[in-house]
Amino acid sequence: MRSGRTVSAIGLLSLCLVVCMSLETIPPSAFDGYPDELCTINITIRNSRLILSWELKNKSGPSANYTLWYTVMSKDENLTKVKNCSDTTKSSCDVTDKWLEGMESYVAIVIVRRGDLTVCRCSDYMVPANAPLEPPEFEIVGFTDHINVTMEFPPVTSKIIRERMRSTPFVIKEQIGDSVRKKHEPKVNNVTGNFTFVLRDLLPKTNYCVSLYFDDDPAIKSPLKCIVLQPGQESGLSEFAKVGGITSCLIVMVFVSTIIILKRIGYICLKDNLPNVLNFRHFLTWIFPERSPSEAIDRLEIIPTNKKKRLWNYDYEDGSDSDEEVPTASVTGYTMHGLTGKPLQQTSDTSASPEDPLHEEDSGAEESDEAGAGAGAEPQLPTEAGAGPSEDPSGPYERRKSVLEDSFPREDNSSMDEPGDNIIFNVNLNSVFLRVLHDEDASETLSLAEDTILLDEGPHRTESDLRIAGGDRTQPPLPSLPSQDLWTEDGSSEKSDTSDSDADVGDGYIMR
Amino acid sequence: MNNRWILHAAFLLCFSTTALSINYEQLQLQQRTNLRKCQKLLEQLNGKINLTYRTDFKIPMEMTEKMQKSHSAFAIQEMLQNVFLVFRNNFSSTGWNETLVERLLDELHQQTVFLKKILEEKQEERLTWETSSTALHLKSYYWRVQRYLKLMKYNSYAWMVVRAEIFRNFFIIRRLTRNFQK
Repeated sequence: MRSGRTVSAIGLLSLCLVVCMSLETIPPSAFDGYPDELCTINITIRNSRLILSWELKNKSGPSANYTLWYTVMSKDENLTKVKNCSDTTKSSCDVTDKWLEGMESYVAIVIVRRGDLTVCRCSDYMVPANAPLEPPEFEIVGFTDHINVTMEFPPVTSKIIRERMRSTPFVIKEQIGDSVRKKHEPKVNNVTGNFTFVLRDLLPKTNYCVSLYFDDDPAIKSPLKCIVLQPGQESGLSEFAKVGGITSCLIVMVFVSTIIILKRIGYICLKDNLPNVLNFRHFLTWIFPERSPSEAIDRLEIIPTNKKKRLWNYDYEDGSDSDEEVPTASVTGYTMHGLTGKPLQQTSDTSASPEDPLHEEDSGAEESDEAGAGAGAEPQLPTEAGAGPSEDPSGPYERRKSVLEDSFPREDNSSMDEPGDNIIFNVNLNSVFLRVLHDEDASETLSLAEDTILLDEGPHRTESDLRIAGGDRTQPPLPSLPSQDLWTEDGSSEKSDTSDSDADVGDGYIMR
Repeated sequence: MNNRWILHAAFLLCFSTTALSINYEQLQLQQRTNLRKCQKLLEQLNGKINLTYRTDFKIPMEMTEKMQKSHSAFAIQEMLQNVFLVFRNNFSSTGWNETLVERLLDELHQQTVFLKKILEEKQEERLTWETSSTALHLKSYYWRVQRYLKLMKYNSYAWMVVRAEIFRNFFIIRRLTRNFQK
């Protein structure tokens, strides 16, 4: 009777074990009697799968078969066997579809069977949400200036893995040798299938290395894959060179044609058609007029119109103030205009031929008085403007002076006050006769040498002050003077006597 | 005169705000480093698992939800401080290396003190955190852990169950650290 009951109990227990085994769950204490095997159990996310792997410390002995059981720490649940990881020689197991709670702490028990006798267990607990992400497998293809990095992301079925990939940045590291050149962080949250990332702006003939990893703690980095970019490795390079060449040629052509058009229109490279006064080629000549060689200068004898003036007795050597001297009457009855620093009172009469040399014009009354005083017994000149040959030739000297002065604009008299210096003077050429002294007049010329009119070469004077009378503006100027500087009485609106006409008074003079 | 006072107050407020701002990025890096060290030390504290001693400590799941940076910092400080207190209990039955436990306690203490220091100025926010339901649930949770150890008389199987629970704590702290990112 007792033996019957024992047999029944054992049968019942076996039946339970069989049933439990068929359900692949056993009580948690089923393996309490097994010895513990020193081992290491790890969990990682690999290729979007949750992979549990183990490694025994004692690797010697015959090969082992492994059976994986698991349970949770928070609940009093039975151990559950993983079907695909039962009696396997593989030391890893895919538990993606088994471990579904990320925050749960799962207990993994690996039953190790060596041969038929040795059975031990290896166990540990872990949190799936804490599993590190392994980078995907990838391939690189190098071109001349870029690298294509191709990787595959299998579809994600686990909520745990989806959350991990969403919250963990993915990094593609670009290196040249050992130094990191750049780190790229492409978004791979919802990426499924093949994914290609292009590393651009690379240099040919350079060794580039690529590595992938999820920026986690700790981060599992893929092994480096390196490649040397070769020139001409891509057909696109020649295309790029062609496009670049064509573009540059087009740009050059557009530029050159624009220049040509602008030149033809006249916007650029204009001809130099400046008027003479703006022609600065002879600028220096203007400032520093060349002193003509004396032998090249024809001496001009300026003779007042209808007047015979006294000769001034110039004497530069003794520094006498010839400007102040009263002009003396010459033998021939005319005078060479000398230099005077005393402007005359009369200013309006421009036709008179004063015995003064080229003189500055002055309209001040006191000046004429001074000139009159300086003139001595010379009578006063009339003040009417435009006085011409019809004037009384016996007019006073002062009047003639003032006429000359009136003919020309007043300028600085300071230089005229210094005897012995070159002095600028202006001559109303409409009111004077000009005669070029030739060889037959040399004696006369010599005697009159000191009365020779000299052009002023003072620092602040230019030859433009010298005006040659006459309606004919083409009269040859003095050699040192540019023709542009000639100016006639016609140009003076106030003083010129345009009504003058030339008349031959004989003796080589032309009366105007 | 009033305008000058207002200007002074505004200047001080801006200055103090700038001075009291926490560099959360730097804190994240430091916290991750500290947590890595603690986890490596805990992994070396091995033992036998007895599934009979399993229990559910009912960790507050709102700890895994997104929260503001200052509250995350307060929560991390609270958790590290309580883990430190757990391992201050009698672990002689486990056979663990005392040096390893001391190093673990040292790391936990350093990080706790650091967080306490940088969060000193945020008294108002601390008050808000400490009166929140999350903070209260967290305190209850650690009270349950302490009580369990006491009831199990600090035997090795109970310590292995607590060890497994501390691994979950570290996972939650790492989750909270991610809240420091911009």
